[in-house]
Amino acid sequence: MWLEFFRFDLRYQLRQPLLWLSGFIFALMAFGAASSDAVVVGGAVGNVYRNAPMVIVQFLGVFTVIAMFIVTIFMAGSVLRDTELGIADMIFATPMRKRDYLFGRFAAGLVACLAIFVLVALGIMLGTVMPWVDVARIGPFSITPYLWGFAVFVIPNLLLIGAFLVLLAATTRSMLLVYVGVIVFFVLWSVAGVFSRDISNEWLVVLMDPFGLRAFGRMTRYFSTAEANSALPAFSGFILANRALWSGVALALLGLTLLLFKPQRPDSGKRRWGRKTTLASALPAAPAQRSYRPRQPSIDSATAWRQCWKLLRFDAVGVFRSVPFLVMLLVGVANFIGGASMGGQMYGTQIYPVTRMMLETLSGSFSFMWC
Amino acid sequence: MLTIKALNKTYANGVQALKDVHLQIPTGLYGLLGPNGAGKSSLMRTIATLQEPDSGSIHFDDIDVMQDKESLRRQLGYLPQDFGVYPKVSAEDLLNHFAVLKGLTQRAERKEMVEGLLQQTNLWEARKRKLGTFSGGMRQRFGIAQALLGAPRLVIVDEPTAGLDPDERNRFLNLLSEIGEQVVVMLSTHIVEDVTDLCPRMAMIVKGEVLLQGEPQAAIELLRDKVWRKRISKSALPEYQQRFNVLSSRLVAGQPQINVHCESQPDEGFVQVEPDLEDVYFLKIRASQSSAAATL
Repeated sequence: MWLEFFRFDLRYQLRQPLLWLSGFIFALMAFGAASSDAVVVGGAVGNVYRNAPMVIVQFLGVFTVIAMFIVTIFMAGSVLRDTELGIADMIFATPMRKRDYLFGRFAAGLVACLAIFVLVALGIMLGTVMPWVDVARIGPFSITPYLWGFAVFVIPNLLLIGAFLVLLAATTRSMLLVYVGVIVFFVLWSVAGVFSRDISNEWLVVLMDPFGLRAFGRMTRYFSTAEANSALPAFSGFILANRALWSGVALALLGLTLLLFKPQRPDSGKRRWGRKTTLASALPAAPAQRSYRPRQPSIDSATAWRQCWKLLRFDAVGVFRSVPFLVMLLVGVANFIGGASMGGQMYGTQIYPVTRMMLETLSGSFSFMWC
Repeated sequence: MLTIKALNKTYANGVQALKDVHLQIPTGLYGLLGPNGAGKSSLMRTIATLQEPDSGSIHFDDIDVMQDKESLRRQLGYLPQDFGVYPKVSAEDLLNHFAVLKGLTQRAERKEMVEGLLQQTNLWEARKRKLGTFSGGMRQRFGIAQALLGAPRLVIVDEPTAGLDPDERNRFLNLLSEIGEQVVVMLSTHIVEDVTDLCPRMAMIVKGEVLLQGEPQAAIELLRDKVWRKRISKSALPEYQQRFNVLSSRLVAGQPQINVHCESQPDEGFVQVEPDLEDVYFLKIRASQSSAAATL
């Protein structure tokens, strides 16, 4: 039965233009980073080959982090869609099992997101064979680093992100709350990165990174150029431990989703928080019934202005309450709090957080919107 | 036989949707009649295992529905009151998807069933079209097709004729009464004639309470010789409403015609009329309103 959910939902996902559009944009970014130094993704390539195995794996790994916000749409959407469209009742009245439903949907979302990464890989491959790339900077082509990157970073990371998102979506039933969760996760990850510099226990630092990039960085730190051009770190030690840990977490999150997901309307349960219960009898009585009396609209020179003002207010309220606006605001604020908390330092030197510096941080916090 | 005992449900916003509902529903068409917001949909959703009651029990033949939801769902065909569809999927594809979910896993028999239902609901020509392009009536028919997939022994249809043109409505009601010869069909509506014409048994629900259940004809019989009709002027209407138990007032050629419930002729000019289910319906609603007013 899960196969039917998988088959149907995969077709649905693959027909979404947004999937291919975002895949194309990511592929373009990967293409740029692979073919030129003007585009940098997750650190400069350095003096190794442009298509050195280490570089390719690094690219793929970093893209799993960047893609998190777009993956949200497809993974969380696969669970939220039915309620939003109002088809959920008809589906949940069939004798399907929620295990099949969740697993089929999850697998379909995962495969759809993998399609984005196949495009990213193609972008990298294509980027390195462009005529303007210095031939001396290109090593022999090998498929191995791509497969390694997919097996070690792309698939486990998508599994983890996906499991986290589906858990959030299934329990909160709100795209906004899912995005809030994603932002919190992202902020925690960045903060952990900052603090880990001060932690001397290397194992802790490496295991604390859900994406495994720090483990990879730690294991390739002392690679010579020749090594970086030809080899990948052994799949053992830090990186194995990290991947095993976070794949385990992903499976645990999936199990939790299965446990907590209720295929019933959210309003049919008891409300745990939010608006207080008002008994129907406590509501104010409706005003006495009045008969219909037509009113002549007054249309004069001021009417258009008043209508314009009302439209402005109506639409402004709509925008301020919309999910994309709130998500972008939250990302900016989280960015700012992170930046401002380190505002007293510059290159390790203590400085005063003067207005000029703080304003710069503030404007920088929202710069992600036009990048 | 569907047996419902002492069902209660109060929503988080304080609305009591079901108050101690007891119903016995045998094979055949069973009508649920009530005004908007009476609790019909809550009751049907609860039977369809889509929401939990606060207390009470539901049994379908020997299935304890609260304990064994999946067994009920295997025998259930459910059409919600309002529903959405995937706008970019064709009617045939989505119906096929639902067929698999219902357990029709043999390709050949599934194909036959899906094609048959598309024809019976008059969607055959439009089967390749995306559901997003369907009109309200077409979408409703898709919902009906979906509810009849498999071999349901309990069919719950919530306002199924809403949005159907008179022709389609007749076709659908004929189909339903055909199905109702073998299985339990529960039908909610606020169109009183649908119940009179179709349902051997029915229940009236107002504000979550079952005010009446049984055969429509028996309920109508109770009002024999007690419904009186008069044509009055518009300005006199409030006075009549004050003095008599006015069941309904409708305009006939622009002039109000009222039905009044009274043991004997209320006054000059009233003529006795044959009662119908609508009179029963309004009598029950008026009684429930005045008892609510009395407790306030």
